[in-house]
Amino acid sequence: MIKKQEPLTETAYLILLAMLKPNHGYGVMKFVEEKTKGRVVFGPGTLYGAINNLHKKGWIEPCPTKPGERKIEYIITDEGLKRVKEELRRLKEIYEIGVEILKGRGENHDKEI
Amino acid sequence: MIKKFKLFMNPVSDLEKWLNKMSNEGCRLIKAGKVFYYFEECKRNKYVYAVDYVANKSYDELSEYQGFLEELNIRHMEKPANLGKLSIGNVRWRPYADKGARIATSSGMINRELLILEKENDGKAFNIYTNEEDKINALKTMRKPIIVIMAFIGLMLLTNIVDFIPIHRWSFLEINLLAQRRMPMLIVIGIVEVLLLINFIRFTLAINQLKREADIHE
Repeated sequence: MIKKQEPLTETAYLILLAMLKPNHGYGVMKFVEEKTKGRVVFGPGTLYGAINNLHKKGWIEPCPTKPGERKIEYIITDEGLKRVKEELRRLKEIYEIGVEILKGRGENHDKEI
Repeated sequence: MIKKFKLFMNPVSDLEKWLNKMSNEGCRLIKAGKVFYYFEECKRNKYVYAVDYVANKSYDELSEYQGFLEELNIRHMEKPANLGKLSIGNVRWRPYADKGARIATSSGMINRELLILEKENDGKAFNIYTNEEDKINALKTMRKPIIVIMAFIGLMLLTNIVDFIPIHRWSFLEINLLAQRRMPMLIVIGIVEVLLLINFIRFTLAINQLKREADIHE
C-alpha cells in the first residue's frame, strides 16, 4: 500500500522553501512576504511555532553558529526536501485538475489568473 | 511619563485593543504592571501592539521565544496577569500549562503571564498567529485556566450547597441559620462562577467559529 501523502500547510511549505538556503526567522518572513507579494505575512507566533515543529520533525536543522551570533539559522534536511517535492507533485495534480475542468467549461483560466 | 490604571474583563484581547487606542492617542507603552501602565508621549500611531498569552510556557521556552522576537525587531514586555492559579507561597501549580511548565515559581513564570509585543506601524495588521490552527490553539490555551478555576469554584459551590440538604438529625431552625450565614458567600461564589462561564462561552464560540473556517481555508 502506498502511504497516504499528508498535504503540507501553506506555512510549512513556504518555510521549507525559504530554508533551501541557510535562513533565520527574519529572513524567512521577508522571503515569504516578497515571494507572495505581501499576500502571506507570518505572525511571529505562527512562524516561531512552525519553525520549532519542523525542527522537531527533522525536516530542518540548525546550522552551526559562529560564536557571538544570536540568530539561529536553519537549513532544510533531505527529509524536508523530499516533503517539499511531494507537495509540489500534489499541488501540480490539483492545479491540473482545476485547469482541465475549467477548460471543459470553455473558460480560459490563464486570463482569469 | 503617564501612569494609567486599567482593569480588563478579558486581559488579552481587551488589553490589545486599549494599547492600540493609546498608540492612536500618541502614547507609547514603557512598562506594564498588574493594573498600572506607564506611557511616554510619541508620534500618533507610531507603534502597533499585540498581546500573547504565555503562562503555559516554561521559563526556557519563553526566553527562547523572546530571543526569536528580538530577531524580528519586535519589542516585548512581560506583564503579570495572574489569572488561574493556586498558590502556596511563591510556588504555583498550573494544571493547565504545558508539560514541564505546571509548577511556576516567582523566579520563573509567576508574573510573566502575558507578553506585550510592539513593532513599528507599517500599516499592516499585527497578528501574532496567522493561520486558523494557531489561532484555535491560542484560544484553547487561554480557555484552559478558565476551565480549571471553574471546576474548583464549582466544587466550592457544590460543597456549600450540600449543606443545605436537610438531613434528618437537623432541626429546621439549624438549617435556616446555616442557610442565612452562608447565603452571602454563596452569592459571591455564584457570581464569580457565572462570570467565568460567560468567558468560557465566549472562548468556546470563538473557537468553534474558527474551526468552521478552518474546514474551508487555511
